[in-house]
Amino acid sequence: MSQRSDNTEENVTVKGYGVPLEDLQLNLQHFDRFSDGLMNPEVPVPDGVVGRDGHPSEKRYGVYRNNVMASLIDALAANFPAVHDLVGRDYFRALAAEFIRENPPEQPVLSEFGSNFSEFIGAFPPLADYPYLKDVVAMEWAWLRVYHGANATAVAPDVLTTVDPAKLGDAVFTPIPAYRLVYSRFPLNRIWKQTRSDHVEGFTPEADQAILICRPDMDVTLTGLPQDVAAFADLLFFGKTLGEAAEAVAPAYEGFDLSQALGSLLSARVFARVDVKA
Amino acid sequence: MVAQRVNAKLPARGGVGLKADHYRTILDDKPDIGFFEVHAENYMGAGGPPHGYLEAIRRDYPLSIHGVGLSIGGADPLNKDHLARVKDVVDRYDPGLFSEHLAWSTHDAEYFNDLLPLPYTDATLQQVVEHIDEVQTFLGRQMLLENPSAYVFFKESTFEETEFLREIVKRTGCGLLLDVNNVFVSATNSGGSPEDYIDRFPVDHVHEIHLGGHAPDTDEAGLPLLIDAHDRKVADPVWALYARTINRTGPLPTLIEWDANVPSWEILAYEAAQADVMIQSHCQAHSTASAERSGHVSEV
Repeated sequence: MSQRSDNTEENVTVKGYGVPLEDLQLNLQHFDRFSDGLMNPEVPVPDGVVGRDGHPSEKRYGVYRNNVMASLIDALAANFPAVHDLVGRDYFRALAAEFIRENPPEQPVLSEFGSNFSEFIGAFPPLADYPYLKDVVAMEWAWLRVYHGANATAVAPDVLTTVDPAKLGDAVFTPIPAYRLVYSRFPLNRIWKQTRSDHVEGFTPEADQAILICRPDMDVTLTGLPQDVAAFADLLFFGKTLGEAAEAVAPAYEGFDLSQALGSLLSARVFARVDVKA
Repeated sequence: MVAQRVNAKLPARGGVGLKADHYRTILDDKPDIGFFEVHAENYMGAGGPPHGYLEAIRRDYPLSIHGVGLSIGGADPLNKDHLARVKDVVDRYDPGLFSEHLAWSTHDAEYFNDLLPLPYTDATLQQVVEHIDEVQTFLGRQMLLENPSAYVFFKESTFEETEFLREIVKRTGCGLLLDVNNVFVSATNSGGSPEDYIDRFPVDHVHEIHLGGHAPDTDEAGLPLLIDAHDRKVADPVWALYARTINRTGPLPTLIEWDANVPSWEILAYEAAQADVMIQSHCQAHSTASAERSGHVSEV
């Protein structure tokens, strides 16, 4: 079937693009069988997969099993270093293996692997006593998206000097693409400080309810935001005008200081442009 | 806006796989090195520091882009979204060469993150050829296909690997990336002769060579089992095989792959310099030989 030396009709089809259907079926089965055991050590070495001596070899097929699981666990550890450090190496590897078996990556860009790791950890019974882990994963995921997000030039913190003060209420603030706002009832910043190199100086979890993660230049920056400022920021990011956002937030939060709120967002350089709505 | 870049063409010199650990050293010191190679999949984000560094490095050095995720040898249709992202990276950096593997990594839409082996049959030949046609058409350029490392073998295979590759080249017009360490690893693991493999390889189509370190092990029968670990220096017998290879191919861009336990820049660059030395001594021997030959002719 595979010899390509003569001119029988069978060989013409084989040499061209018409491999017989039953061969293609057998071929597909080969890939099914080889795949089945890659993430499951219980599955035996696939038929026809042999070592140098012509015998099936667990050790040799095991190189692939090991490469697959170890490299995917490493990829997850690289994406979630804080969680890795918090639960410890051995625990993380066992946890990651369970996650990977249930949620294998569907595409090859591994910096985008783990989008649902936070939900998985939140629903993982053995970690029920550590509810903050879910939020740490969510923050690491947000950080990663900001790190790899599209570049854009942020407007200078003094941009409002160029806006007619009479029209300030109609100003619309477009954020840069590389930003995320994360909320938690846990002191994420303290955990972050223990496990990662960057953190928010002077962050107090009692007052600061959210962390703004953004990347106006090459470096990702973190900014702690009090609850009212975070709510205000959310409305601006959503496309509300300055006036609309301030009106919505002020009644809900006593002592909301509009100029201070705006100042802290502008200093974080999270906006790409400011336009006055016609 | 793209600043002026050096010419894309890769010189016939030693180059290295670009590692994030070395970004700063490279930009600060501008070391003399033939070229850099990156995995396409590491530069598929929209922006951020990886692109910032690579863009800056690309201005000063030629670059080759090496894909690890297209699953060219797989039974699934190619992932069109991923192919589009490969094209984005290639268009963004204008590499001298783009290469991928004779291997698969995706099946039933699951990505395994490893270069998995395929049997060499008429059916797999057809699927590889179709995939390469699709890649080359979509990218609008020739791609190189790399020979894999193998730890297992398939009873159903009906082609020798070198014949399989020759047939792929004939049908697709793709080029080849000859990984000399993979040749040594696979030959050792199969009990074959790496020299014979090199001697039978369709060298006219080779545009790049890879070298890397491997880890020694044994299988349950006590037979040698080398692992393509890319975690150490290139082994001496692989350097010897490299000398035999460039004797057949002539000087070619030669990449040092070192992806785990990444060493200091100096140690990595020294490996690439070794390749430069071997290319130079090959060229000297070659020019001496041809000078002697031409001298001979003029005497007659």
